[in-house]
Amino acid sequence: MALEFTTVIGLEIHIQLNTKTKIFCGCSTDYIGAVPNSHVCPVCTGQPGALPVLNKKVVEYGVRGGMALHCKINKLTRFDRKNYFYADLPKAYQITEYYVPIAEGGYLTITGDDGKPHRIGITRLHLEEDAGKLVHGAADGRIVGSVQSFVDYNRGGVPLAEVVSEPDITSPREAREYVSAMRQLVRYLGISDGDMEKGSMRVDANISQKVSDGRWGNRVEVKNMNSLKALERALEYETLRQRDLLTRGETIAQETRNWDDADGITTPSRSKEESNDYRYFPEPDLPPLLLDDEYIEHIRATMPELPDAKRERFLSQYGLPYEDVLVLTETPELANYYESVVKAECNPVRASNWIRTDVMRVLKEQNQDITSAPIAPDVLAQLIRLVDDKKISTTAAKDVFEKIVQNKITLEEAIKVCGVQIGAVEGDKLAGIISAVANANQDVVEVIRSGQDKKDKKLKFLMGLVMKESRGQAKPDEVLKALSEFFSKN
Amino acid sequence: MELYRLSASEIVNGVKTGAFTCTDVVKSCLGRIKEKEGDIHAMLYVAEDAAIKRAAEIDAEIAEGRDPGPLAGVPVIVKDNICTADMPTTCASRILEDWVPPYDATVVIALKNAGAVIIGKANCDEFAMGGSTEHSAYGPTMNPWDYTCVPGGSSGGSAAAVAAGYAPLALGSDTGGSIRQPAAFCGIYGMKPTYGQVSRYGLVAFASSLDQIGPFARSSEDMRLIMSVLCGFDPHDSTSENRTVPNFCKNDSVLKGKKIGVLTKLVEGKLSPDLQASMDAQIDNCRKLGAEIVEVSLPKALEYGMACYYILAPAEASSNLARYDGVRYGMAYKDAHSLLDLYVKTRAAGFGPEVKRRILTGTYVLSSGFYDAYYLTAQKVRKVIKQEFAQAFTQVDAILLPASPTPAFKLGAMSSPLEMYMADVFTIPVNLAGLPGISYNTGFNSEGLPLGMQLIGPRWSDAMLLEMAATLGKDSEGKIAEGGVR
Amino acid sequence: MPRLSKEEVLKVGKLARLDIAPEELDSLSAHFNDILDYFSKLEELDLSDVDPFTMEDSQPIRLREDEVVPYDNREAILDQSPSRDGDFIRVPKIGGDK
Repeated sequence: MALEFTTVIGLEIHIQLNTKTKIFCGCSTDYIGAVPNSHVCPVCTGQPGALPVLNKKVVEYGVRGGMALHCKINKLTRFDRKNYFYADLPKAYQITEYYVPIAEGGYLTITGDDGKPHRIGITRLHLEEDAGKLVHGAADGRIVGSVQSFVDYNRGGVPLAEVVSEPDITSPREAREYVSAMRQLVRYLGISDGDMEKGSMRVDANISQKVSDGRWGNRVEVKNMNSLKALERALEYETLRQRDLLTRGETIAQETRNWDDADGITTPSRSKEESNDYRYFPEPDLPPLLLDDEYIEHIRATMPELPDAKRERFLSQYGLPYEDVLVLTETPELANYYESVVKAECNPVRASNWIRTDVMRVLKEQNQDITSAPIAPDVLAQLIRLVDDKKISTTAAKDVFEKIVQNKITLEEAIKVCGVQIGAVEGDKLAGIISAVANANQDVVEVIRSGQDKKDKKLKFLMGLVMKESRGQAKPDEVLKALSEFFSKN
Repeated sequence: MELYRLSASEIVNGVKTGAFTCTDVVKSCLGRIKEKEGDIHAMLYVAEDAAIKRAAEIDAEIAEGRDPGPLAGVPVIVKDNICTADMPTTCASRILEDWVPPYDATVVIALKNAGAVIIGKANCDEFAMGGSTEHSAYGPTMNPWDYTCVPGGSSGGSAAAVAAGYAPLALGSDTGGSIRQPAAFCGIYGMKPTYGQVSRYGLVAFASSLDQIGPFARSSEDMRLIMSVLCGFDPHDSTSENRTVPNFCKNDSVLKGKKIGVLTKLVEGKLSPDLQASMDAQIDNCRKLGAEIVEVSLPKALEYGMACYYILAPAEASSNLARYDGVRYGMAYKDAHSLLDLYVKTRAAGFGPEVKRRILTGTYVLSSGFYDAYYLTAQKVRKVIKQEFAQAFTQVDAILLPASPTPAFKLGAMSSPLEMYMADVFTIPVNLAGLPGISYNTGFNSEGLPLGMQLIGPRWSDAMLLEMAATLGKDSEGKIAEGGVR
Repeated sequence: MPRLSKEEVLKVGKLARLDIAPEELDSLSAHFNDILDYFSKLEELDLSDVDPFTMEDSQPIRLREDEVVPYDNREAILDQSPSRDGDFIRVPKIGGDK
């Protein structure tokens, strides 16, 4: 009797909101690469007597996030204190929303393993402050071997939105989809970079296994997954580990495990503190947050176009296949770029092809993102129009494109440099090219003239040269015709 | 008359008209401190050099024809739990020994901008927890009227300093009566403003939802002066309310036609005879001044206020004091072998017994499984008490009640923490309800100890309350106003 | 009303990161139990209809503009630390305690 398993995953995502200042003080949030402890003040270093004051942009971003996740926005919310001791926590408490989050009861739609859309429930989205950073003294930077650590409070107080999902995720792949969709959403909203590697998006997972014989293994918390790939790998590993234990009749320890990306395993975590009694109580330094209907409606009315809406619109407006739409709407910046090209009078399908192949290839080569567009939208549009109007060939256009993106020159300059002929090469232009080719290859011409060109080998050779010179702008049958005219005259 | 005996308003006047200089006044106060400190021990820090320097600056401004402000030239003493950027702020604790804050409290900036000269920091109960100043880690303060008695607490040092003539004005803080009770014990005015009236930014937090900074003074005119400087919205303090600063101006007939609430039945038998007599006399006084006396009832406030307070205040304190861990400021245990070791040893060595008791109580009532039974219950009781006061204030304009059941008691008299707690029964409910309260002197008992009364008003009635106290306290003011104790 | 055993008092001490010396334990336990007894008074009240978190008597939270306000005294903050190490604050070994 083989056992069957169902994986149950819930995810907690901490999203750093990219406001200019911290959640409770006016210090800058631009801490990456900054001198340690340079973006600090009495409030975010927990000096005696200092008090928090809430950043209005943080509230706005929290509401936007909640709305985009189809949550109910709570009009009356409070902040609470989560009390614990740790070196990166200057007040020995974190100000968070425990009892009443700003948003709750929503969902995020992803593509399930069965290819169908799945709604993953969102339990809540709440606002809180980030902790400082610790640098550990050991040579490998790990806490285990360190006899001392160093605290940098620059990150302390940076605003976070914590999004907690229902345990509706059923596989590591779905988990990756969910996080990917969340990342896309926050980028579309403009509230966060959503970058796991940079730490502006941090994911913790809770994973357990339901067994067909009625058992349900304990939940394990998995932390320290610093990329989408690591997330998927970690959960795949953990799934196997748990199923293996359950198959052998053992129990799963309810614990926190850290993902070790180098070794590809999860290991039990040394807990930060023995007891997790956070003694939550309402933050007395902050009165309740009251959002009125007018405010909420204003936020709703000024929401940017979200990924699914944009995808729907692209499908109907531009007649593109779904896979192409997915690529073009990956980020709002790319989608905007695409639409700029189309707006500059360019065929939508052509624009899609060029962007998805050539533009994105160049971005990858140059390690840039679309915000530093290698070719301006109107220039790309112009180039594509030339091909559409049959003024230049596709191959010629690709050459011109390369010149523009590598050398950062204008379209006109690139055309000149490539020696491209605008318009079809025919008539006098063609005759001119044939003359030039003939002059440069007189020995070949002689062979043809003397009638010794068996099987038209030399003629084909000349034709090849002429075609090359024409940059593909000449039609082959026209070239043949012109060549025979040339030989008949001369 | 020695300059230190002058009131703040007299100093401002004299300094601005050139009758004397600010430097003269400051030197006189510093001299008075030297004279009396050996007996009283009200100060934890005397900023002698800085004060003289600042006084010279004030004098220069005046000489140039500029106006330093409404408190021009006035020496002020600040309780040592209020942050001063250029002076140590220890909260009378070892754990903050020698700590100099990196910023000034908003009220300190306000005083400086008004032209005041801060001459030092006053002793208090450690982290403002106590009712006698006996819990200071640096030794108690003595009552200037009787050195064998306490000056009250927790702002005992500030009250004693003003009563002894160290300065005409001082700042204290009041969480459960810590301004009103020492004011009564030392025979001067002391006011706790409405919660949200005065900024808490820079007040080292004890119980955030109960703390307020307030002034001590020997004269009502001085109280008006300093309240005008202290009150006002502060964007750094989210609990300070954005409303116009009250207009503190003299009004002799404030009591005419007003209704004054009394709780004669509820306090019967609870007061020492001298205070009982004093209260009765004040009731008569109110009538003479045109007020109607109305018996009001605050049974829940008086019966349950203490239990409610001693759950909520320690709970908030346990969280507010968790930051004292030897890492960023203050004392640090030197040979810690780990972070945990640093925490537990620093805090064990740095905190005194009363602070430890409250941190532990507070931690317990918030802990898992007990939140509903204690903290949430106490919050509900607090609501009930607020409603009880609100109901009373539909019948009366202010309530008259002693600040304490007895006058100043002897040092060492309280045999247990709980006994000390019980003495706050008349002041605590006022903090729970966020109301303003003021103490004023009503005379002295046969042992020469001051007797004081308290007036409580609805929220934002600070100006009216001050005038009532001024009118009722006018006669006593004479004896105290001239520099207090001889 | 439940009384606290000495072990439970020590546990509270751990939660508060406060080492309790043996000589303090007796008086602390006694105080704890006195005060918890005193708290039981509140059970006399019927609080079933009371919502402690309504807002009638105060203003809601005020919000701050999202503009950087530079703080110019960072040195003072770092200097006050007992264990400043250049731009950092040093703490001893984290974890590993029994």
